[in-house]
This record gives sequence, C-alpha cells and structure tokens, in this order.
Amino acid sequence: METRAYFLFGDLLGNLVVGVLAAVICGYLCSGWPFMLIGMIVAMFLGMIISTVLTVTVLLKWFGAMEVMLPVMTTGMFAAMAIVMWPPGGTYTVAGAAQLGLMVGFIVFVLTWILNAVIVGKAPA
Amino acid sequence: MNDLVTKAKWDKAAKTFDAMSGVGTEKRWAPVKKEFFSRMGDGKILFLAVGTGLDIASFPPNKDITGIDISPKMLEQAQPRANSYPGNMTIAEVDVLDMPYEDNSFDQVFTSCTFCSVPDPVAGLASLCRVLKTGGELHMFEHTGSKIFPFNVMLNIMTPLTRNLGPEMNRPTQDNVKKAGFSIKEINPIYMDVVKTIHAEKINRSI
Repeated sequence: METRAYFLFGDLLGNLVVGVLAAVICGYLCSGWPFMLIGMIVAMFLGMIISTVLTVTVLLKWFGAMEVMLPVMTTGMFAAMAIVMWPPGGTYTVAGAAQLGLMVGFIVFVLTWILNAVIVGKAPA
Repeated sequence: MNDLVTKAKWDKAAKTFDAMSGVGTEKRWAPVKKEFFSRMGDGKILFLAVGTGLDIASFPPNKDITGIDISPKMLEQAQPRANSYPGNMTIAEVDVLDMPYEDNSFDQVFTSCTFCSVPDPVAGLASLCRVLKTGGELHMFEHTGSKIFPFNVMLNIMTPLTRNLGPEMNRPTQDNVKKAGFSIKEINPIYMDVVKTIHAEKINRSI
C-alpha cells in the first residue's frame, strides 16, 4: 500500500481536481436533459475523457500510471454521473457541482487506497 | 523479422517515452523494481523489451544480460544506459517471435511492462519458453486486466484506444503464461489486481 507522502498527495490531488472538473463540466453540459439516463451515460463517458486527458498530460508524468489512472478515471465517471443524478439543491450550480466533485474525489481516493491495501495484503489496522 | 507494424509503433513512441514515464511512473515503481530485479541470478539472463533502458538502473551489478527490443529507435536511447551497466550487458534488435537464440540457452527471462504490447502474447511467451532451459525462470512485472468493477469496464473501454499508441490494458497475462507452457510459482499484486509480478518456471514438457 502507498504510504509515501509525495504519491499520497498526488493521488489525492488528482482525484479532487478531476472530481471538480468532471462534475462542473459534465453537470453544465448534461444536467436537466429530458432523459436523465442518457444524460448520465453521456456524462460518464465525458467524465472518463476528462480524467484521461488530465492523467495523460499531467498526472502520469508526476505521480505514476495505473495507481493514478484507475482511481482518477473512477472519480471522473462517478462525479459526472452523480452531478446529473443529484445536483446539490436540486439544480446545477458551479459551486454545488464543485463541492460534489470534491466529495466524490475524496471518497474514491479513500476507498481505492483501502481496497488496494487489502488486495496487496497489508490492510490498515 | 516481419512485424513492421509493432516496430513502427514503438519507433514512434520512442521520442516521448522517457518524458511520458517522467518522474511519476519510474519513481513510484523504483522500490518494487529494485526488489523484482534482485532475483537476477548468476546464469545467462534474457531481458525482453529493453525500451529506452529505464529499467537498467534497477538491475543488480555483475550479471550477464542480453537485452532485446523490436524498436531500433528505443535501442538507440538504451545504448548509453546499457554501456553504463556495471556488468556484462549487450542489447540487440530482435523480435521475440523470431529470436536467433538456441533452444534452452538462458537461465532466466525478465520482462517489464512488455506483454501488454506483444501482438500475439501466447506465441511470444512460448518463444521465451523455447530459449529457457528446463527449470529456467520467467519473471514478469506487468499490468493486466482486472476482475474488479469498475476497473474492468474502464480497462476494456480504453484498450481499443490505447492499442494503436502502445499497450493493451486488459490482457489476461497470467492465463497466457500458463497457455505458453509455464508453471506459475508466485503472483504478487503491486497495485490492485492490475499491476503485479508473475514468477514462473519452464516445466519439462513439449509445447
């Protein structure tokens, strides 16, 4: 499991930034569609694209490959879908989307860290 | 050597390979790779897919290593690193599917993020099996597909896109190792069930 401060910082930063970007952008583009399911699916793919672009252009170079890419893409997908399904306050606002994106990013960072620790066989006490 | 497509792909990637790897990937994996390559023994070692030679810094000294790669552009960048290696290391432009080495000529084979990219991975692994001595060791540091949702979905979606630029993201590498005639001794997860080391042995049977 990862315990080095530099990479923990990078993983957290990547997830928070992607969470905010995915939620703000996808919420702006896909919220309020007549068919929410279609909006969610489009947002999901857009979220993946946003996270992939950020990973390939910035995060990969400084913080790693799979360890960054998998959680960050997960954050991108779920932040994008979440903002379409549950915009805070019922309607899309940039501030609300950013808050939701931060929350999703933090949750994914924590859950993937724990999952990895369990899989690698060194679960936290 | 006929695989001009793979050769062209990696020749093209050679220009930006080190920059893309950057601080992140190599620094993150450095402790793991140091431990992984410490398994190099005193016999003849084949290292498949030297690339630009970034892994050479993690090799223990005083070993007898033959490094091969399909891409001459990658090897151009690897040559200074190979020259600086404190041991016996030669590198050559060789396609794993068309290796000029005799059967049973190597004691160990090492690979590092290679079998995400070999076009026919089972044939490539079978070719490694051919040049390994019976009881010889195969050591792999690889990223593979995942059985965990949503990683499996994401890796399956990404693979058609990444395939043209370099690696495939969803290879069932440990299954391929078995199909090629190896007996897997150890699998160590490094990150989720995606990044792992695979340690196998050539068993005494015809392929």
